[in-house]
Amino acid sequence: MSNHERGSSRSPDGDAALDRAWQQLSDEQPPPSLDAAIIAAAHKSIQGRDEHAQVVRARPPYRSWPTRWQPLAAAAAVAGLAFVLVQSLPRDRDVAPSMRKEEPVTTPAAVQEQPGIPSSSEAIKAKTESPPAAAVARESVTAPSSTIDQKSAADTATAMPATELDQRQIAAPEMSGRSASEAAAAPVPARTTAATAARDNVAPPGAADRAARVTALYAAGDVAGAADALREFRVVDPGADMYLPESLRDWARTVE
Amino acid sequence: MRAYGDGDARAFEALYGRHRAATYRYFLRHADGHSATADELHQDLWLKVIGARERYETQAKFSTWLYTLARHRMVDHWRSRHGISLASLEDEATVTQAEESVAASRDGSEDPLHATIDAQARRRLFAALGTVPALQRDAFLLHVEGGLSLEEIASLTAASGETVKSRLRYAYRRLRAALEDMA
Repeated sequence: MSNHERGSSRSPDGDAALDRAWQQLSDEQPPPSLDAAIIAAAHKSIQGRDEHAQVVRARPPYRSWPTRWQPLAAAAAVAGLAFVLVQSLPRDRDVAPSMRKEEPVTTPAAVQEQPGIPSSSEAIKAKTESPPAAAVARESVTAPSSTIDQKSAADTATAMPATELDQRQIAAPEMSGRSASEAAAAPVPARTTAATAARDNVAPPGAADRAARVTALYAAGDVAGAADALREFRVVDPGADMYLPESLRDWARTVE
Repeated sequence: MRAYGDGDARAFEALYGRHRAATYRYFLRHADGHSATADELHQDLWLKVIGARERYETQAKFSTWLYTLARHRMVDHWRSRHGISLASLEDEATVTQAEESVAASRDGSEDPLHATIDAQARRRLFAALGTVPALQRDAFLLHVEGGLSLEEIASLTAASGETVKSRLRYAYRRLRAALEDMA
């Protein structure tokens, strides 16, 4: 083992002769046994650290319970939060039903338009000329009242459940052979009122007036005018005959 | 030292080989030639170095750090043996007490085999060093054995450069006088 180089940086006040003498005279060395003990301690210290490191590596790292489950808990919390957010957002299917009510129903036509019955456009025209009928028509959705068979409407008005009747009335545009767009383009959406009146046993607004007008014309001797008024009444309301007095019903049967 | 801290035992061997004699003599001179005390202090120092291998940080020269540890160990030794602090060894009363102690030690260890000129010179020189106050002797040993500069000695002894220079000057004067008497 070499000694550390001494006297490499002498002070200005140093004595070169003294330094040389000191280096010659001061040459003691630590005993070899002391050197061996110190070096052995140094080796042992490193080996001890290596063994400790090996023990530490061999042992699985201990992780406390919260540390082990923290990632899973965080993932579950995020998933739960996302679910709640998705549930709280408005969805299309929540809005769709109310919107579908305004759309025309496209069920297959069940009732055919019979010959001799005024066309839909004529019926609409008649309705627009008659404020009471128009007021009745406001209850309807899309179908003109004339598209439904008079007799079947009168017959089914009392027997058919209200829901089925409404569905038939809603499906009227297709029944009459008109497209949904044409029905939607009609100035005043109309639906049959006779069945509704018969079902509710309440005369629709204006029906009594029309019946009174027919009666008055007939009483005044204007049979032709009464017949025309009755026909117009029938256009608006297929069950118009029911509003006439008993005395006029026989005559009304003769009016085509 | 960093290599040894990383587990290189050969690095320690090289380090120890470079500084072992100087640190041993540093303790031996402070212990007035008492080899058992020097052995004990020397071993304590290097065991402390071994224990500090993982905490060692490069903030100064290794030799400065090493002699800082050595000096702390020396101060602890003085406190435990003499019950006096290092600073108190600088006054004249303590110097006189130390000189008497060295003289007694010298008288009791007379050996005819060392009755040569070199041996006489050595004894005189070391005896003269024993009369130098502890702080001045410490500065001298740090300088000639540790190879530390004035600034490094000032740093590790927490003294100013002028103070260190003054201590060295005093130690050199004492030792030079001893050598002149021998001539």
